Amino acid sequence: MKLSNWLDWQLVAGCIVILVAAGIGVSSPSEYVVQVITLGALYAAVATAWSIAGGMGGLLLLGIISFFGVGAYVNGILFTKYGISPWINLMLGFLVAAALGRLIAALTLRFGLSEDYFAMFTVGISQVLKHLLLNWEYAGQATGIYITIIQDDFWMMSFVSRKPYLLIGLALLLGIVVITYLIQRSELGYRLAAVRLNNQAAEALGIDSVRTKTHAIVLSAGLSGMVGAFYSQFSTFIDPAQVFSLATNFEMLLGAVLGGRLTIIGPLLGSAALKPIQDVMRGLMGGGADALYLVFYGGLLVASCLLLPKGIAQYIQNWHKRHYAKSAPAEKQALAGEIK
Amino acid sequence: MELDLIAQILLLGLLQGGVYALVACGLTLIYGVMKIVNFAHAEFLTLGMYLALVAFEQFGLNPYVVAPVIFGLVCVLGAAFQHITIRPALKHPQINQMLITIGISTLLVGLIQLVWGPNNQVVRLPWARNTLDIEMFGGEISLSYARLIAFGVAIAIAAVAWWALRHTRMGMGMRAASQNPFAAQLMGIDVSRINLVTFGVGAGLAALAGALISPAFFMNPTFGKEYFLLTAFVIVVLGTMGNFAGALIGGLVIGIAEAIGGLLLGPAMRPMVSLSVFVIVLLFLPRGIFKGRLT
Amino acid sequence: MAKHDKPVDFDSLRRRVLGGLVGAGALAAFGFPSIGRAQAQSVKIGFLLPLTGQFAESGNSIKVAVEMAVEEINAAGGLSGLGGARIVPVFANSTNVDEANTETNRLIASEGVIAIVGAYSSGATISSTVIAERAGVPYLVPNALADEITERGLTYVFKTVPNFSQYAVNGAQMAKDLSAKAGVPLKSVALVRENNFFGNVVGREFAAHLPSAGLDLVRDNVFPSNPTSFEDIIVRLKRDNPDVVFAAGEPSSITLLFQQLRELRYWPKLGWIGVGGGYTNPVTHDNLGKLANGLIVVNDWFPQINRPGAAEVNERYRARANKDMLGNANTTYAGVYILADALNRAGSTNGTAIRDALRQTDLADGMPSFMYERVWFDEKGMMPGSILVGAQVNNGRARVVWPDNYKVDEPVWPVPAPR
Repeated sequence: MKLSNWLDWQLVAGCIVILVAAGIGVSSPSEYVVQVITLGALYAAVATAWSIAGGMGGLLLLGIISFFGVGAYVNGILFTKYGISPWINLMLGFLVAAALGRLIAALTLRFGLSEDYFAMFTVGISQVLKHLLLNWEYAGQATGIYITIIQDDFWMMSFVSRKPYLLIGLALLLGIVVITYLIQRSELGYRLAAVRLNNQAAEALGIDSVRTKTHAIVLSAGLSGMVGAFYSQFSTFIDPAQVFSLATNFEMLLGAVLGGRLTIIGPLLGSAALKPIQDVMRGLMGGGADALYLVFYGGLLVASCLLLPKGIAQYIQNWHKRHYAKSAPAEKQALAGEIK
Repeated sequence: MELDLIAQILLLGLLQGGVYALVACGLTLIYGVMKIVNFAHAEFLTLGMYLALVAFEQFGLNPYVVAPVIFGLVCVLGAAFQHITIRPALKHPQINQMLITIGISTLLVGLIQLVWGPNNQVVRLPWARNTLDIEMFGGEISLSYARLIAFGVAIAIAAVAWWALRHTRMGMGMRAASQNPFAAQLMGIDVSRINLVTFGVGAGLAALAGALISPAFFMNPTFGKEYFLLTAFVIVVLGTMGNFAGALIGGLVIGIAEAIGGLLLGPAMRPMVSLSVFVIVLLFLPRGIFKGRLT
Repeated sequence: MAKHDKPVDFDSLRRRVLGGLVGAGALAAFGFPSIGRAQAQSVKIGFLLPLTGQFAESGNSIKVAVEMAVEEINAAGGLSGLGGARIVPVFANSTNVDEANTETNRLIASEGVIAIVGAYSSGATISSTVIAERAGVPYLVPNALADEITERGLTYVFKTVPNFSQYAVNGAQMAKDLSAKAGVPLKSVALVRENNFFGNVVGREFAAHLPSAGLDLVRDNVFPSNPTSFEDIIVRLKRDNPDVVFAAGEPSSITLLFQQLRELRYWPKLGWIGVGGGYTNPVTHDNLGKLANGLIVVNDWFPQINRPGAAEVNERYRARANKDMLGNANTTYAGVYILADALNRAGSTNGTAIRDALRQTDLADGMPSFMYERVWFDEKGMMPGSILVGAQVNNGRARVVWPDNYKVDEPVWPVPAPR
């Protein structure tokens, strides 16, 4: 691992950011800080998971919330109805959401849906799921599912204090960051880059583009499902309107895009900046000026999309390139996930 | 089940389909020409409703009379938004463009709530609720004027748009830009002006739809987003994104499908009907029923 | 808490305030009466309301009621038990569960509120009450109805609104009373309810309670949130032809539903009875105008009720909001007074002390009597004996017609179709 390598540098920087967040959260006496950091970590985790398909794979997997919501309901149902440990449900949430991702990939890639139609399809699926759950009596319909936490029980992921959730959330985020790092370095990472940059050329070189895209979708889906399963335990209440909310969906993607969806650290930094900014802005403006808050938030969104089209991470990468230009050999630079 | 009830449901579904088609017109135009999925579409619709309300309450003007004025105003507003926010992002990745339109949507919801407050409001135009009654299958079928007008205007817009895209300079430019903006630019077509007009007209059509349906519904700042956005997307995909006749037919199909689905499966499953149509069409007719042609 | 006889140690005071500890602000304000006079004495109370989004209208109506109660209490000398301290309301948004949770934490940790009132939707209330409980901050619920709020053994949570089952029990009883009085037969009932939290739970309660009231449920019509049309429900109602329709929904859907009832010219044989906040919304009544004439609505209170002070409270509210005090504005208004009473008796800003004072609440007079006979809480934190009343809408105003001891008008029953 060399800091002169952009990928390695990102991993180290990502770990530092997560450690700092953990430090602030654990040492803070304020539950508010803990809550904001935990939610930020969850959004960052989904944004990073999304970047596998949405960034590296160049796929417009717009409806990431489907997988998040499915994961949330996997834990909600299994925990409250069968008393299955949320730790196991994290895995099951991964599997169920990954299976859904596999199904969506099989349906869409086989029919060769073009980009924006694929995007609309994934958004449509999230709303189909929402309405299925709204009408599914067993899952509580519109009344949703409550998770009651009365006492500390590690095996049941039940903690009276919020801090253990903060640490679990950050651990999930760290795990997902490491996975994206490993993917970028792996054969799949190169295949994804090839397919993203030029699908036809990649096919000509013998890369199975459908298989490559499927892998990316399944991974993004599964990891988002895992985060969703944790979210339900953290938030203690889920209902279809909340966990399949399109507003939440776009907030999650926004972090990835503003941070830089082609990098490891981008989605992390984007969400780490965005979610707290949103919460603090609401806190500052709360009460008297809620409509004004929407105006500012919408304006901020438009402005940052226009001013940072390639995300914050681009500037960091440029800095990194300049900083290590003398010491690093040219080939290493070529390995770095290029931003174009 | 009695025949008159079925006839009533189908006719009401058809009229509802006209409302849907009307709402989807602007969305399909913007997508067809600029390939931008405009998530702010619903807010231009809501804005049109509020402008109609202002005209009605402050100046006593009938929404059907001021609708063209509202269309013009929001055209200008839409063009301004396009110039400031969309134009610089045209070379950016699609996901950025989508997020920008989502930002515009959030901004407009906030502005609307700031100006008109969060309350539900209605345009009190009682005669619009009156009905045209038809004797049929031994029963009486009632169709409200408000919905009949929306239906008629939807057909008229589809017809005018069909003609304009073929026979006006701007229309032909739009078709050229939609097929290949680069080639169109080389042929001396001012694509950036076409984009400006397209987005303006698209937003204006949304507001026009809002003004026309205002006597039949009610309004609040998130009305467009919560009631019509997804359905509009479904219709645009069904009727081939960018095709006006397709939007009309797509709207009618969804209206009738929802009516039948609601009758057979229960009203709670209505959204599932249109969403299922959406998913199925995307899977089996991914370019819509018109195979991707603009007109 | 600080010892009063200790000389004021400004350095330690500054340290504690700068330390940002939750109690520090309160300490500075109340712990030192000798310097208190020079400072503005105030206590912060947090109000979690849906100020944006789908329920923004209700949230903002409630906000006006809160401001009114707070100004009245402050103008009358503040909280006597806390040395005349003024109440400072801190409003926070609870549009969804995440937001409610985050804002609850902010209210407690950053704003240092001594109590919370909220949070409108049951989901947001269920999750945010747990946060307040952990922090030892009393939480008054004058709007969210879910039974779970007070069924989980939380000790800092107090609810002043009835449980869901009462809507079915009182609604059915009212329909039977009105029919018996008018001498018309009542047997078949249809439900028209929204597929959301309130609609689902109320639907379940009606299905459970109607048989024991001797009524037949002929069809349970459920419509999705944000419907663009009600034609299929109305056509089904025409065919089922029930004696009475019981309904629940949000203001938006009710507006459209009644417009379409008019378009398709349907009205039940005896009447249409709407339950809960959506049907009680004064803006909806106003928007519908004549279309809602004769509609009977069921909720815990109406301004036009035979209770002392009700009309005056409503007039004061109308002067501010330009609409009737309904849709939980009334319960939250009363809630501020109930909380102020407990704060006065607690004589402290300590969470446990306020909690204990709330538990011992027993009010039969004072401001809350505009809507409550008696305010007290059982061991679960639930206010027993809260009842629901029925009111008939006429030209945008809902006037109580049932039960007899609260009525201001004779009911019209069977109700003719509004024209």
